[in-house]
Amino acid sequence: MKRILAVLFAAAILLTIAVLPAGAAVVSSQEGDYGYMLDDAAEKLTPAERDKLLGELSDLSAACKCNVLFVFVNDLNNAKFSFNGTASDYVQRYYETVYGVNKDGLLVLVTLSDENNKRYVGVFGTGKCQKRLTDDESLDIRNDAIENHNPDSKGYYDFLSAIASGLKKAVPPHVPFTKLLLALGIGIVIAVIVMLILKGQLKTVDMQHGAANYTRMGSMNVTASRDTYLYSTVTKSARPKESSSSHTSSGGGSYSGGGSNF
Amino acid sequence: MAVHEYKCPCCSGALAFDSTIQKLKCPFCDTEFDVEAVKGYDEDLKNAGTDNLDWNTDAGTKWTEDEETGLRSYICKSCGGEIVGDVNTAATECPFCGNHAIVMEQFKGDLKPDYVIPFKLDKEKAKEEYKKHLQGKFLLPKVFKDENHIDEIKGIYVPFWLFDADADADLRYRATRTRMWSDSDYNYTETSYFSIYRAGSIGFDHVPVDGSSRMPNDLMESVEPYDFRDAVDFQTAYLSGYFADKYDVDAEQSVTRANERVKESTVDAFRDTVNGYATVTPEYTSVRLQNGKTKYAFYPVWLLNTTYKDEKYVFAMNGQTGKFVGNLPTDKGKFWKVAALIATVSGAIIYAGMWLAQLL
Repeated sequence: MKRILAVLFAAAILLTIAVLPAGAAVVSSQEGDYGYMLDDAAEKLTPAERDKLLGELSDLSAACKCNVLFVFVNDLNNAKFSFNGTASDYVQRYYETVYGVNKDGLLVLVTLSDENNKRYVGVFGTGKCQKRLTDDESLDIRNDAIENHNPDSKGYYDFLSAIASGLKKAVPPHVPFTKLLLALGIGIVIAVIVMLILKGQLKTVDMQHGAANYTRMGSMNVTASRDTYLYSTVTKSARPKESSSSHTSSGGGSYSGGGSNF
Repeated sequence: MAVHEYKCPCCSGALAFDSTIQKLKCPFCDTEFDVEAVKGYDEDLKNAGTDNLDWNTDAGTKWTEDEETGLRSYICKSCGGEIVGDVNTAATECPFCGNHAIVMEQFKGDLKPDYVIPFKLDKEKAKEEYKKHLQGKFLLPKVFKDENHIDEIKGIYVPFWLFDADADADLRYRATRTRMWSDSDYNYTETSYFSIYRAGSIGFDHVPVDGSSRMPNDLMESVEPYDFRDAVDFQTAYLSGYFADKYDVDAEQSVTRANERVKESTVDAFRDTVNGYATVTPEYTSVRLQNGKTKYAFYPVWLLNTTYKDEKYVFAMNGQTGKFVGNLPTDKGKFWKVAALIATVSGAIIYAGMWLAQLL
C-alpha cells in the first residue's frame, strides 16, 4: 500500500512539472494591448529580483507601447518550438510563439551557452520597435550592460536591469533636441516668409524693371538663333544601402538589433 | 466842399438810404443798418485815435541771388493778387480767389510739350481709390486707417520725356541640360553644356522718364503704365483746373534712365527665347540703340498726402488709368506679435508631426 501511494505521488509531481511552463520562473502578464514576460529558466535571479525585474518590464512595455520578452536560459536546449539552432533565432521564435510574428515588441535573450558554447546576450526589436531600435542602439545597450554592469561582478539582475533601462531610453517615441531646434528653425522660416508677404502689401512704390509695357507690337525680330552643344560630364554617387537594421527569423518575422558574446 | 460818405461797417461800401425799409442799406453786400447805429459808428470812427505802433523794421534779410533766381511772382488776372511760384511753375491756383492760372511763358518755343494725356479721372475717384488702397492691409496700423485724413489732394500734370528707340542686341549664354538615371549601386547625373547665341532687334515707343526733380522718380514710375493712345496734341486749355510744372530735368539727363529700361527689356525679351534648359547663364550682352527720338509730354497724376506720427506719406494715382500707389506704415507691435505666433504654432505643428512619425 505504501509503495503504491509513493508511486502515485511521484507520478503527480512529474505530471505537474510537465504541464507547468518551462520552469516556475516564467512569469507573464498582459496590460491592455501589450504584454510582458520574464522566463528565468536559468534560475539565476532570486524571487525578489525576479519581481523587481518584472516591474521594470511592465514599465518598459507601457513606455514603449509594445510587448516585452526577457529570456534567461542556461542553453538553447529543450526549446518547445522549432528554431534554426542560433541564439538569435531561438529568442525570435520564442517571441513569435508567445506573441505572434511581427507584433510590436522588444526581446532580450541571455544564455550561458549559445550555439558556440559561449555566453550570449541578444537585444532585438520587431514590428514598430524594429524601426525604433536600430542595430547601433542595440549594440550600445549590450556594450553598456557588458562593460558597466558585468554579471560576474554585479549579478544578472543588474545586467538585465541595465538592458531594460537602456531600452527604455532608446525606444519610446521621442524627438531629439536637434530635431526640436530644426522644427523651431522651420517655424521661424515660415514666419519670416509670411511676414514678408504681409509687409510687401504695404510697399507699392518701386522703380520699374525695364520697359516691357512700351515694347512696339510685333517689333521683335530674332535674326540669329544658335544652340551649340559643347560637351557632357557624368557624375555618379553611391546609393545608400538598405539599413542593416533588418534580420529575418526562421518563422518569417523581421527584426532589428543583434547579439554579442561576453 | 468836403464829401462825406457813410461807409458800410461790413464791406466799406457807400451806404444808401433805402426808402422801402427806412434804413441805410449797403448796395454791395445788402446789409441793412438803422440810421442811429450808423451815426454812432461814424462818430466812433471820427474819435478814433491814431495808433502809435513803432516797430523796428530791420527784420528779415534780402533774398540771396540763388533764392531770387528760383522764385517767380505772377499777377492773378482775376483778382490782381500776387501768386508766388517757382521758376518751373506752369499752372497753379491763385491763393486769394482760387482762380486757376496758367503761366503762358512756360510753354513758349522749345518748352511747349508735344503731347498731353488729359485727366480721365476726377478728385472723387482719387479719394475713392485711396480708401480702397487702405483696405485689406493686415499690418496697417488701425489708427492710420481710422483717421483717414488727407492733408492735400492735387491734380498735377507731370512733365515726362518720352523715348522711342530701336534696340539691336547680341547675346550669348551658357546653358545646361541634365539627365539622371540609377542602377542598383549608383545614381548617375549627366550634364550637357551648350553655348546659346541670340541676335536681333526690338522696338520701344514712348518710354517715359519723369522730367521733374520735385516728383520722386520711383513714385512716378510706380503709377505706370500710361496708354499713349489717349494722348492728344498739347494745348494749354487742358491744364485749366490743375497744377503743372515744366521740366527741370532735361532730355539729356533723362536718357540714362531710358537706356537702362530699354536695355533691361531687350535682355529679358531675348532671354525668353532660350527654352528647354535646366540653367541659363548670360556670358555676353550687347545692346545698341538707334533711331532714338524724344518727345516732351504732360501726363496726369493725382497726388495725395497725409501725415502720420510726424511722417509724411505721399500717394499717387495715375490720372488716366486709376492705378494707385503709395507706401504705408507698418504696425510694428502687430508685426512682431504675429511673427512670434506663426513661428511658435508652425514649430509646434512640425514638432508634433516628427513625434507622430516616430509612432508610425
